[in-house]
Amino acid sequence: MLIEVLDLSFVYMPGTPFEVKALRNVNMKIKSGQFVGIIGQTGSGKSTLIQHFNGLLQPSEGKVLVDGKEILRNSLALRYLRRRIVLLFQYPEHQLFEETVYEDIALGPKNLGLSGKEVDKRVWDAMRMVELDFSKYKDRPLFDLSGGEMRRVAIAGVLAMQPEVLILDEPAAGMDPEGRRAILGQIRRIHKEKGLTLILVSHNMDEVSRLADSLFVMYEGEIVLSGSPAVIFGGYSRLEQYGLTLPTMTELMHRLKERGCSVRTDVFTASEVRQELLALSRKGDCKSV
Amino acid sequence: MDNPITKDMGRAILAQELICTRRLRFEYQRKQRDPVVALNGIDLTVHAGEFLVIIGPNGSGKSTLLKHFNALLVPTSGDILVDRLSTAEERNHWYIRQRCGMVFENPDNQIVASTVEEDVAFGLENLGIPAVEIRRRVKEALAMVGMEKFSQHAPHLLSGGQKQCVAIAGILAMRPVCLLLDEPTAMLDPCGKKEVSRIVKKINREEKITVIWATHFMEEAVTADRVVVLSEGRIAMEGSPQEIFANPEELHALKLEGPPIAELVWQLRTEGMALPPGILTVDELVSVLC
Ligand SMILES: Nc1ncnc2c1ncn2[C@@H]1O[C@H](COP(=O)(O)OP(=O)(O)OP(=O)(O)O)[C@@H](O)[C@H]1O
Ligand SMILES: Nc1ncnc2c1ncn2[C@@H]1O[C@H](COP(=O)(O)OP(=O)(O)OP(=O)(O)O)[C@@H](O)[C@H]1O
Ligand SMILES: [Mg+2]
Ligand SMILES: [Mg+2]
Repeated sequence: MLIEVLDLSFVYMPGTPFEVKALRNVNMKIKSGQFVGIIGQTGSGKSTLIQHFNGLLQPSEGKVLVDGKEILRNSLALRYLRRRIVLLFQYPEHQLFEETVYEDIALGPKNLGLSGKEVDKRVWDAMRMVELDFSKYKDRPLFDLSGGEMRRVAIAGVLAMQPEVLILDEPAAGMDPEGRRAILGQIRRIHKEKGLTLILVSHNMDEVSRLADSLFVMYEGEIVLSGSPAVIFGGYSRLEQYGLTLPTMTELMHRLKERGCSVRTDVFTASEVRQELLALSRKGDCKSV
Repeated sequence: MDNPITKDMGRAILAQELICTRRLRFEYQRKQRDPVVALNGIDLTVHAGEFLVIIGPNGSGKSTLLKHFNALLVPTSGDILVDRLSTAEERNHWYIRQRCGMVFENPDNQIVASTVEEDVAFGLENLGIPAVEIRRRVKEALAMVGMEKFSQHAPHLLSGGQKQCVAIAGILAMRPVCLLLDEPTAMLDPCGKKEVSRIVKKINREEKITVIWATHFMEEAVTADRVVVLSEGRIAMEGSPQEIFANPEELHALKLEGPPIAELVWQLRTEGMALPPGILTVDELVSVLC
């Protein structure tokens, strides 16, 4: 599915003293099968923007096209759209409705009209992907769970829908390090194998730089930068003014370069950095040999 | 008997051990099912003025433990003393909660008022602080987290990170003796995370405020005085950040990871590069390398 955003502006509470211009003239295009990252300061408009992609919010100005057609406001069309473009909220605790873990994850697949057996399989698969033990957790009431456990249930819920486009708003916040690595890995695997289009909103520069093919940087309701991670994080000095930092590994390389070591700066992962540093130490180009 | 000197000495001793737990066990009771054992024999002493970070996988008991520190939960068995008062006695709760203030994992659970300003002032009003002083403190706290512009806004209509900033401002305005922070920066942008770390560290140093901080961001643990690792309701590891992050293998077995730089350094060391142990940050690694 192709999502096109044309001159989109959005105002909360227009005409009141608390009016907030949350989006200003946003233009972007997300192609089918892409893995897109959206980053930007607290309050820059990320959550507002993505809620336009499946019609949860309607533009104040401009439009959003899905496969070339403007999102219709009638409820039947929206319901259909939200089966294909699924959004996980930033605080998914508010998105949990059912009594137990199983029922909550099963809700989406049931609404798709799947058979009981198929629903069962979807729930089982989704729980495995988010590393929640099926028999241990399936009957647990939702509000008895720890923060991270609840978040896993919410992620399982959207995965079980098997959408064409998955929008995740800070999915890994509150998750333990192993959990976040595993779950983001699973999501990436589905993206690669099934061509799932992914839109990831994240404050974790280490993760987005590793995962996304292309990034959009938001600042005060506008898209101020876009491009591949290499392009975005190559422009070192600009990022801080937008409330962002470099990925840890990239920052390390920039800092070494400033000190005169000849290293690459277009790297994001620890394994790339390891190669660089080992080569450096073999050349005797740094203090520690 | 009421000699001011011994009374003062009493205070000095009191200041040493702010929180002390002994064989603390906590079970969440459930209808018609076995209880969930969330904490299972916690022996922990937190010293006044300490900066303690608690890490541990999801469901390991971090939030449950923090809720014992301000008497929101009381042990199923075992003891806990906060400022030498047992939380088992309800008449101590008010005093304990004035001493230990909490930022909850989900900021929505903390919103009490209809404007940001009133929300931050809420805790202060209950303390009987004069109105002028309240206004000063609220303004200062909102400025610290960069939210002054939003003072008249409705807290439940803010962005995720902004809500978290308001919750942090609330506790900064209160200045309790002890800050209990449950993943307070989970939704903040990278600069915001650093800034909150810096502010909390500063008031810990300068005002000797005790900090107990639960987190999944290992970067937030590197400047702690001590790190406690929880696993399945028990203390699995305890030590300085350098000790805890020296050997990631032990952490990996507990479903955790060290800070990215610590993990990198450990790998480089296993591949034969002569790096000293205890490097946890970019700054430290850069200064060792060139
Ligand atoms: N329901 C709402 N009513 C009024 N204003 C809102 C509402 N939701 C968000 N805002 C405001 O709109 C702006 C953009 O908010 P948004 O939630 O899109 O930011 P964000 O980039 O997702 O931030 P964060 O990283 O903190 O989640 C902020 O200034 C926020 O205060
Ligand atoms: N109200 C409750 N009723 C029953 N069990 C609960 C309740 N709250 C938490 N638990 C269980 O107690 C255990 C500890 O939960 P706790 O919230 O303390 O974990 P945590 O370390 O804070 O996890 P996270 O990193 O996910 O926030 C978990 O197994 C959780 O499922
Ligand atoms: Mg948001
Ligand atoms: Mg918790």
